[in-house]
Amino acid sequence: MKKYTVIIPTTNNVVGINDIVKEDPLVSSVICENNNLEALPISPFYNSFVKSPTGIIEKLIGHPSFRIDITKPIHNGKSWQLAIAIAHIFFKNNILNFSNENQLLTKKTEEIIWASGTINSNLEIKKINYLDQKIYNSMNFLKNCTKNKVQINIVLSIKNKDDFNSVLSNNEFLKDAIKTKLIKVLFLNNLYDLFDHLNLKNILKKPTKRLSFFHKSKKTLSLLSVIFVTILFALMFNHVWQKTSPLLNLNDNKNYSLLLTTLKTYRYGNLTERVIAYFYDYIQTLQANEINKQIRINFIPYNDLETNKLKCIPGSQSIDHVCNLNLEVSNIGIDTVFLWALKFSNLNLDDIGIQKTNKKSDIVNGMIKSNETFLIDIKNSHEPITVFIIYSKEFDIKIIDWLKRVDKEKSLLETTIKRIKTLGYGYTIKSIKNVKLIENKI
Amino acid sequence: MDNKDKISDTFLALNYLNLSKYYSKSKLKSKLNINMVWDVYLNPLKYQNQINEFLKKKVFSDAYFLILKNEGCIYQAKLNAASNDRVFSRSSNEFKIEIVKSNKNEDVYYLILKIINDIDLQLLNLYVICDNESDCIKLPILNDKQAQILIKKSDNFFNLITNPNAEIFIR
Repeated sequence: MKKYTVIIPTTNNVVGINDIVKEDPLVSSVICENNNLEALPISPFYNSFVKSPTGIIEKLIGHPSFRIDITKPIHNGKSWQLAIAIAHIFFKNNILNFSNENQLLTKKTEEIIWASGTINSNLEIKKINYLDQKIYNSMNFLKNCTKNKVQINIVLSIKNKDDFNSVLSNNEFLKDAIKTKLIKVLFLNNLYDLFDHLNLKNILKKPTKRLSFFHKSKKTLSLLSVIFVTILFALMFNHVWQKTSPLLNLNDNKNYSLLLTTLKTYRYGNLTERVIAYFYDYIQTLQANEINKQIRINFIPYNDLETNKLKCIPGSQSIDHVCNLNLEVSNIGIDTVFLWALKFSNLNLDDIGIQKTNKKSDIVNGMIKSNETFLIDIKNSHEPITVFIIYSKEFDIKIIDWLKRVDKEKSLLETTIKRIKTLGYGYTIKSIKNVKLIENKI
Repeated sequence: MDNKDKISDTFLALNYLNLSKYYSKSKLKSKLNINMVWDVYLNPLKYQNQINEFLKKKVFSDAYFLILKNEGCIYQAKLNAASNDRVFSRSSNEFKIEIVKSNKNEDVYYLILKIINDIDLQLLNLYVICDNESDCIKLPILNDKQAQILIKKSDNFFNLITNPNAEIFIR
């Protein structure tokens, strides 16, 4: 790898770097001149420049204490910072060529870094003063370099560009050297840019931007949030499923009594159970409404006697008591519908002294395919009756038993309706009253 | 300094040295210019380059260190016990000294001085005295109550400062 010689221009001298040595961390970093015992007055500033948290060298190199020897003294100022920082990084990567006390250029010198600037903790290069003076002091050295065909890199802050251009306008040597590319002038924003220019990106990598880090964190947080929400939903779904699946199983197995008991428990249970019961009822209501919409009911009066035929014309709201009735149930939907109909008297049989034990239930059941009609003959009766019709898309043998119980015990009607609703079956209740109508004849 | 002040300082110095009682020319083993001792004490910067020469004279150094001790300085006595014949770390209530070898040169050491408490005295020199030998080194400006001096192992100062029997004065 190519080795670089680092030069520190000052207002008095052109200064080379003799040596850099890692010292015990207890020791404060020092700058000395040509291996002398006396520390230069800028040593405390150099120590602050090295030692973390104020300094940058410890952060860049990973060691807190150095002794650096330079060829000529530097008494004040801070423009040495840029060159010293570059020298430390080169030294760490073994591409720094040291100068001798009396000879800045050695036989090993391949390329020169002539650098002047201060650096802040973000490694941004700041403007320096007296640039013209530093360049004029370095003229002999620069001429010597070009004479020996040694490539020179003048490294400055971008904020010194105007200063440099004004120096350049009066300096033919610099113009020629830049034209012939023996001198490259690098105006930089930060130290990373130098290593980009020198194609040494691997030596000093730009840290990942903080924004990017937060962006990454944001992504990670988003992912974690999604996972968290998914897990939360999975747990909730599992909880809901554990409560819902027994209902579905009971429904599938037609274990209605237990299903109704469970639903009743849910309605008075915790929030989840209440919500599940609500949704279950809602779905069953939708199903029942769908079946109800599929069914059309029509009462058709008739009488075979010619004299009464005119009294039994269909479509009238009131029907003469001499008329017989047919109940026409039509399926206008696509699916087949099963039907159960119970006709029972509205009179209390006990009140009129009729024994109900031997009474045969007036229950009809059947199946109506799509666009077919089912006709139920409601025999003429002088007593008011109620017709209770249940529809379902599946045949359920238990419905007959329930209707029989209703027939025997009218008070069970309400319970049966609840049960029917819960199971998602459709139903209709029609009441046919036997009334006396008084008309004004005059 | 006028003559009146000189006389006053001389008697004050004699008082410190407790020599006034016994002062007689016949008892002196060597010449002592008490004016000079007092002047060195009062103007250390003026005699910075000569002070080590003066301290080579035992009578001068005895008188000088006595003045320092009584007039005000920070001081560390001989160590009571030391496991080695060389001591690279010394500590007292007032200051701490660490002597660390340089990685650059085996003959070079860093003397790190840390003052523990705030002190009103202007600290210019570090004096070390051991077995009738003494030496002095100029202190750099203290930074955060800390100073660092490069010393050579081959120098007498190194031998004295690392000697457990050495007394240290900072003033």
